[in-house]
Amino acid sequence: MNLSDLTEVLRDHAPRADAQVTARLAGVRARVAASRRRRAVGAAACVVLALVGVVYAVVPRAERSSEPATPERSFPEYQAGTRLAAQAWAELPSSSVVLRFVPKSLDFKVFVRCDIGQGVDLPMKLVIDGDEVLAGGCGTASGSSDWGTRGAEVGKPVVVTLTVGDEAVDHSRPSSPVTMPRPSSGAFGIAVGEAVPVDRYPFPPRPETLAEMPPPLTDPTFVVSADPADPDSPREFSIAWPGERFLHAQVNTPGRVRVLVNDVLVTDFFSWDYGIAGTQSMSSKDWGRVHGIAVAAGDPVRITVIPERLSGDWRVWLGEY
Amino acid sequence: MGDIPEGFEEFVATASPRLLRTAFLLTRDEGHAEDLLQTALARAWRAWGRVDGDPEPYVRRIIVNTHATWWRRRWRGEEPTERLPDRPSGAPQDVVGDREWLWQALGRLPRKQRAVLVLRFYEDLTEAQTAELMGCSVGTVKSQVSRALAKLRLDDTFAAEGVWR
Repeated sequence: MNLSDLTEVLRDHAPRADAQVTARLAGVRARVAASRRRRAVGAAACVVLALVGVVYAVVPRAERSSEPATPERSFPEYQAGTRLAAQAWAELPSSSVVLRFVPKSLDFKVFVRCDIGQGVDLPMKLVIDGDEVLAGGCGTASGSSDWGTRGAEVGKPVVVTLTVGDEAVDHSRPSSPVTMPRPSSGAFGIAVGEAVPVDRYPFPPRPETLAEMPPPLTDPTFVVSADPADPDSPREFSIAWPGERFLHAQVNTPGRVRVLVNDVLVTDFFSWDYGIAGTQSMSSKDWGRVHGIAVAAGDPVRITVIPERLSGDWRVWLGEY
Repeated sequence: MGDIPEGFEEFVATASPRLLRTAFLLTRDEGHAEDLLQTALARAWRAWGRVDGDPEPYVRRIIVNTHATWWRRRWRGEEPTERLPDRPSGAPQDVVGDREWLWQALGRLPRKQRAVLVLRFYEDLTEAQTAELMGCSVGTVKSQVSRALAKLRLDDTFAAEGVWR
């Protein structure tokens, strides 16, 4: 793929004919009128919302301890470089689930999973120790943060709350989505996984064939690949810096790859599964501010690649994007 | 209800087909695109008297920003842990297959990354124009383009998971 392919794909898919201008204007007119009606009843709506808030506060919510008794649904024991430490689930039509856990370290991830009908969009909100960290349609997500700056401490309980909305939207027919009450069946859960060092993490079974590495999108300035005889051996190169670039790393097996520029760590990437995965650094223009190294066009620069537990192909390169 | 603002009807007639294309490339659904366009036009109607100069960039900005903040209707397909679909296993010259794969992969990008690609490579806006329209810095635009292209290039997971700030 190149950039002209991208432009052509976008042009090919943009609709050409559009004969709905009159209907569109009527639709806009209706929306403006509806908006004015909504504003007219705004004060009354505030009162109703206050009442709803009171009702919501007294409705019992699903809440479980950090070590539930063998839940029917479960997150995997190992995922994304972590081992499951705690999980909690709620069955619909409950509106929320709360997980309390005591971190043994601040290197943990939070996972969300919603098992609801296909094509049903149920709004959800994830709150950790009072901070909303994620909002959107209920699905599958995971994330981490600099927990210490959020006030988390080792040994101090952390409270994770997942709340789903009262209304869902059925998008099984995308051209005519239907609003409906929150589904009465299905479940949603949250989990916490504690980081496992890459040298102790159980990788999944190796597939018979590994994914083939795709070519870089744009012509790279500098490329270094794995030594097929020893994919885990470090590599070091010196180059004249080509100017503003992004540093890319790509792997097709689980493991870790670190890239140092003039002995400063710029990329530290982990993959926990087989398949193509990768990352790219921020622009080298920002490395001075973030990493404390400044590289200008023409400077002699040493690049060191340190793979760890990589068993297939990997590639590190510099690209204009 | 008040009268339609002066010049608004003509604007809808001439500019809305172009704006619909942008909305479609963002939403990838004809119904959602029309919904997004009408939502943006209704907002522009209410602010019509304050629009200075060509209203089309103003409405395009509303479209992009409204789309970025809508409830994610297909969140499963957009959340960062999901892997992109496998590239079709055809020969390198299988251009049709590659382009269909690319179209599908575009749909899996996070909304802001998809928007920045549409504005840069379909609308042909400069990085500065894109930044102004999206209300962010040029550096953010470059970074979003880079991340989006990296994700398209990979066929697969770009970031293992989200980082919540």
